[in-house]
This record gives sequence, structure tokens and C-alpha cells, in this order.
Amino acid sequence: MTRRLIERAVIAASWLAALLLFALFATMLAFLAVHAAPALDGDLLFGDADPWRAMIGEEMVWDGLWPALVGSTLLTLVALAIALPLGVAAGIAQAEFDSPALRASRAMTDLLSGMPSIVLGLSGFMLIVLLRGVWPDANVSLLLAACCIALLILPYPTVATRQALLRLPATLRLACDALGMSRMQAIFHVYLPECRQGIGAGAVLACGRALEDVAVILLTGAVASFGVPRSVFDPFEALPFFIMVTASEYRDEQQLARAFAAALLLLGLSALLFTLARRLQGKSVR
Amino acid sequence: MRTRLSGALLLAAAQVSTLWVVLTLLLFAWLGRPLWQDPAALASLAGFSWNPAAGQYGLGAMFAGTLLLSSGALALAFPLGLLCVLFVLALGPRVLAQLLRQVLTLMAGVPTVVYAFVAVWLLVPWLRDSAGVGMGFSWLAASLTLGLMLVPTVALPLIGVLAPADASLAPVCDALGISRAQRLLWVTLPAHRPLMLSVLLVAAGRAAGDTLIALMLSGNAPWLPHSPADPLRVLSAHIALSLATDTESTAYAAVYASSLLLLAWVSLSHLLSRRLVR
Amino acid sequence: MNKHRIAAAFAGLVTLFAATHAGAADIDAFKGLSGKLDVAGGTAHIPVVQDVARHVAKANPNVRISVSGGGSGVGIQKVGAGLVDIGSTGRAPSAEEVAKYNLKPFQFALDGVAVAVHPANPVKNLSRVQLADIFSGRVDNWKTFGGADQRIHLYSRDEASATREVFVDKVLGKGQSPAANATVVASNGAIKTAIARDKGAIGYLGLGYVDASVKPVAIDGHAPSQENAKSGAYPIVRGLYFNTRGEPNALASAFYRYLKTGEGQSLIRAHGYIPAF
Repeated sequence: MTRRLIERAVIAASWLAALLLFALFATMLAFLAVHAAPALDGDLLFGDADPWRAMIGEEMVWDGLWPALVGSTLLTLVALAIALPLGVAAGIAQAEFDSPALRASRAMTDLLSGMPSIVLGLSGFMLIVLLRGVWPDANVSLLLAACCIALLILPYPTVATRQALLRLPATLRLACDALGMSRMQAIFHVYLPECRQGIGAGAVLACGRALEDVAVILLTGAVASFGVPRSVFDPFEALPFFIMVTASEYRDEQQLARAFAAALLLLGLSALLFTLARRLQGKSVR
Repeated sequence: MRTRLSGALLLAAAQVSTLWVVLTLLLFAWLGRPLWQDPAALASLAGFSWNPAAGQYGLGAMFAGTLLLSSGALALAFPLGLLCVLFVLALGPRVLAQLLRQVLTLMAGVPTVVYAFVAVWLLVPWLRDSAGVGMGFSWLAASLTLGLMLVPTVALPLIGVLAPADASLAPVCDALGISRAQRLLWVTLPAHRPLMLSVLLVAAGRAAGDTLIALMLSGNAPWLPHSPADPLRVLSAHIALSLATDTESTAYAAVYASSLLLLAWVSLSHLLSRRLVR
Repeated sequence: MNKHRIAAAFAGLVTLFAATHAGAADIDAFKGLSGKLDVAGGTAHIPVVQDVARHVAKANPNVRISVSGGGSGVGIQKVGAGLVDIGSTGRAPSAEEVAKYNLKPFQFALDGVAVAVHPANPVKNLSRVQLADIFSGRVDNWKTFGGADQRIHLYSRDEASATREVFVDKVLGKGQSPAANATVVASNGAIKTAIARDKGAIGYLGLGYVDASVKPVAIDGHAPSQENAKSGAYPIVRGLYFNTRGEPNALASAFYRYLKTGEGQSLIRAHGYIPAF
């Protein structure tokens, strides 16, 4: 009967936890909305620039969040484009093959997942500083920031893929063997599609992390004002960086309101990316 | 041929993390030279007094701060995250469960700076004025905020993995007359202990590495706190703060020592928990 | 890189001749120039440079100025490595830094360091001795200074902060530190946010950041104002610097020239700093 009691307690606790989370999240949203209200107008994104001309890059946006919005999106997409294939590949290798080097790489992935973003940013930054000795055009840029962010989020798809593969039922592997599939065929045509959900969860986490991190991009290419980057070798603006700089440097309430608005915008952006990710995931289900 | 090539590519991808970790270690060991070459400063590293003006570079308080803050945050995030998983997978009504899952996903995309920002305005004054917890900026304030931030990090991977696993157990358990809650609690969860450990590790890594919540909420006093109401300083925040220092000074070199110490702690915790799970 | 600059400057010259606008405006410091000017370092300079960037972009779209933060040390390292043209610091660069990177510092502004309390706090004036008592932790209740019976909550900055260095030097004396239990916050904005929400608070921050959410107190009877800071009557002041590696390049010198014009100075003043020319 103790089990019954534990079950009851767990059910009650899980309700409490869920309600607590809802309440906290709602409070946060409401708080952001209230404080962002003064800045939520037509000028939020483009300031006094003409929206259309700004969007096609003809006009520079000064008082708006548009460049930061574009910068954050680009950064996340480039970082994901690097980290996802790399992470899935690493996860496959770690789950499906075995060698001392691979066992070491598993430990190293864990270590990388524990590497603080500020340490990662610092090493990326110092690397560029040293690299300039041999390659004078090396500079902090969107590309460098995206590479560092990719390293930051690499463990998410790696671990998700590895875990999902390791948990595949043995019958599936037997069936593939019985059908005479090669290992690669089995991995790419049977196992991976089977692991979609696990990998998808990893990708979503990675996406959120790439979108929100400040400490890495602070040192590797984010700037307070530059406009929309024209190539991956340009510096870029980013929403979380804008929020941080404003939080530490604001002069008046209006500026602060824009930081809160930026936070809301960032939330909207991540909601959009997540929905997109889920759509893509859904599409691959036949 | 193609098989061999893709095999080689997979193996190479697996070594990217190794490469980067080793590179970082070497780089920081090299950059920290001013500190290693100064015997007096080196000797002071292990102490608890951080006072560059007096030649004391003790990182002890910051190291302890990292341990305290991480454990505080995990003590909140892990049970809360686990309960959310249970709610989403079995215990909650379908609509609420889906909603919670979406909220969790959204929360994963909220920048830590936003959590910290909101907490400075809401949590800190509340702790100080209503709960009577010291000045507000404290171990407790940072732990609560960091703990909330980590809930999705704990819950989402668990949901991603447990949902299909739990579903695959459904036919058997249904036949045995086991309820959904019972199935999850007594069958699915116990079968995934290693997974929970790895999730805990990822969360611990993020807790130790988070910079902005600690920086904005912990009060950053470089000492050993006496109670959760006291301020403390963690290694990551210490690094961020020290980036403004004279770059040619020993205090700046201590940034690299702090980074190495932080990495050492993360690897040690990984090693330890691996031992424990065996 | 240099070749590009020269080519760009030449192209700029052509534009100069083609230009029809002939009025002698302050922004003409950038006339005929083109290219990218990158500034990075401490955060205090960001709003000033941003404003300059905006004015320049309107007058001369061929010049693009980027501004970034990270801290004074990062600024020095970036300019030292040639990643940016100008590294900004909220302190004078150290002799070692100047020697290692051949830095040329350019002080563009002074920033008064104000002591601020919660707006509801009745205390208006504190002597330097009283401040020393407060920040060393010897006195811990506002009652002592005619305030409410309320514990004093100390807010301070980290050891790397130039604001803290100046404050400690002028109030506590060189080599001293504020009480160990003081809450340490990472920026001027953060200290303002904290003080605005804490009835027992006292802290120090750049004069330019003071707004209605906090109340600055006079020190030894001198109100913290730009005039008093400039005349020297208000004692706690720090310098803000731009640093180049070697002599400033064409764009950087145009940037400096512009800051020295009436328009440039009023930009600096608009952000609460005192032009240092």
C-alpha cells in the first residue's frame, strides 16, 4: 500500500509542479508585456527607417530591433547547419561503433556539454587573436560566432542521437540483419528515421540554446550597432546581446522598455523556430 | 568505398569535441603563463582570498560558490523537471500536458539574461522585503532562478526519449492491468536510470557554466557565504568580471586558471558519476 | 587590408569632388573617407559611438562604424591584435599594455562617479568620512545619518571596475576594499536597477546613468553635476579613453576630430559625460 501512497503523492506533486511552471511562465510573460508596452509600437523593428527599404538592405536601421532580429536568426540557422549534421554523425559513431578513441570521444562530448559558454567564447576569441599571426584577415564575425555556438550546442544532437540509437529494440537490428542490409543502410534508412523524435528533441534544445546565448557571441562577433550583416564575415547584432547591453547600460525607462520588448521578440522568434522544427519533423513522418 | 568513406566521416565527426576540448586546454594552459611563472601568485591560488591589489589570487571562494550554486539549482530543477515529465507523459490531462510541453519548449529558448532580468525586478525585491532574506541578491535568488531556467533542460530530453519507450511498454502493461501512472513510475523510469544521469550531468554542466544568472543575481561577493541569504561569487561570473582587468596583469591570467578549474570540476563530476552508475 | 583602405580613401576622394553639399558642418570630419571603423571594449562608450555612427551614416554612407562591448580588457586585446581599430577603456591603459601593443590613448571624456540612494531615502548629503564608514561596514543603519531605522545595504562593483577603483581611491583610500558582504553587481545599469528597488540601498555609479529612479547624494556639500566634476569641486571622477595601436588611421582620426567639434561634444554631453577637451 505504500506504493499506492507514493503514487498519490507523485500525482499531486506533478500537478503542483505543472501549475507552478504555468504560473511562473505566465508571470514572466505578463511582466515582460507590461514593461515592454511603452516600446511596442510601429517603430519597434525599424525605428524611423522605411521598413521596406530597410528589409532589402537599402537603408540602415538605427532605432529598431530589425538588425538584431535578423542577426539572431542567421546566427541560429548557421550554427544549426553546422552542429546538426556533425552532432548526428558523432552520435551515430558513438552508438554504432566501438573503439578506445570513440569511448574517449563520448567522454569528451560530456565534457564539451559542461564547457561554460564564456569559456567557449574566450577560447574562440583567443584562437582568432592567435590566428591573425598567420592569417591577417581573420576577425571576429558571424561565422566565428556561429562556429563557437555550434560547438556549444554540439552535445545536444550528439547525445540525443546516441541515446536514441542505443535504445532501439534489438528486434529491429535483427530484422535489418535478416534482410541483408549493410550497416550503413540500416543506420541511414531504418535506425535514424526510427530515432526522429529523440533527435528532434535534441535539435529543439540546441536551437533554443543557440538563440539565447550571450556569453559566446559577446566575445566572438556580436556588436551593439552595425546593421544587417552582408556576409558571414561581418559582425552582427543579436537580440540577447542587445538585452544584455541595455540591462547594463540603460539611461532611461524608454530604453529599458525596448530591452523588454526585445525579450518578447526573442520569445516569439523561438516559438516560431520551434513550430517550424515541429512541422519539419511532422513532414518526415509518412 | 562509399561505406568506408561515410564510416570515416562519422568517426571524424565524433572527434570534433575531443579536438576542441584538447585545444582549449592547451590554449589556456599556455595563456595562463604569467600566473604559473609567479610562484607567490601560484601559491595563493588555492586560498580563499581574492585581492589582486594585495597579490592574492585565491579562487577557493569562487570554486565553492560554483559548487553551492549548482547544487542549489539542481536540487530545484531535477525534481521539478522530473515531475513535469510525469505530468506530460501520464499524469496530466491531455490538453494541459501538451500545453506544458510547449511551455517547456518555449522556456528552453528564453535567454538566461531574460530570466535574470525578470528575477532582478521581481524575485530579488520579494526575497528582501517579503521573505526577509538579507539583501536579496544571494545564493538563494540565483539558485531559484537558475533552477527554473534548468527545468526544460531536464524535462525535454527525458520526454523525447521516454515517450516512445513508454508507448512500447503500453501493450504489456495494459494486459497486466497497470495504469499509465504506474507504468511510468515503476517500469519506464527505473529502466532509464542511465539516461536520467546523463540528463542530470548536462544540467549540472549548464548550472556550473551559466554566467549571466549568476552574474546578475548572486551578489558576486568573493567570499564563502554563511547562509543561502548571503551573496556568493561563482567561477563563470568571476571570468566575466575579470575580462575588464588590465590584460597584462596576473589577475587577467587568473581568468584562464578559473576556466581550467571550471573545466576540471566538470570533468571530475562526470568521472565520479560514471563510477557511481556502475 | 591597408591597400584596401588606401583604395577606399581614393574612391572617397572622388566622391568628395563629386559632392555637391558644400556647407562646413562638423560632420565634415568624415568627408571623403570610406571604409569600416570598428570600436570595441568597455560598455560605457557604446551609446556615444552609436550616436556618432548614426550621424556619420546619414552624412557619409560610405563609412560604417561598428560598436561592441565585452569589457575594457577585451577592448585592449582586440585593438592590440588588430581585430578592431579602436579599443575603448573606462580606465587609462596600464603602462604594460601601452608598451606591449604600442597603444596611443585618447581621453575623450570624464565621467563623474555619483553616490546614489533610494529616492525615498531622506539623506541628502554625506561627508567622505561618513561614506568611508558606510562602505567599510562600520556604520550599518541609516538612523545614524538622519534616515529611517533601516539597515544599510551596500552595492559595489567588482575589482576590475574602473568606477570602483576611482571610488575606493577617493573615499576609502588606496588599497582598501569595501565591506566583504557588499553585493557586487556587474554594471552601471545593474547597480541603478538594484538601488531603485531597495529602500536601504547605497551604491556608486557613473553620473551619466543617474535618472529619476535613484537619488544622488551630495558629497561634502558638492552636488554631483557635470559642472562640479569639471571644475574639480566634485571629487570622484574617472577618465574614458579610446586607444589605437600606433597612430590612429584616417577614419580613427576623423572620429577623434569629430568628437572635438561642437556637435561631437554635445553628443558626449548628451550621454552624461564631460568632454575632456
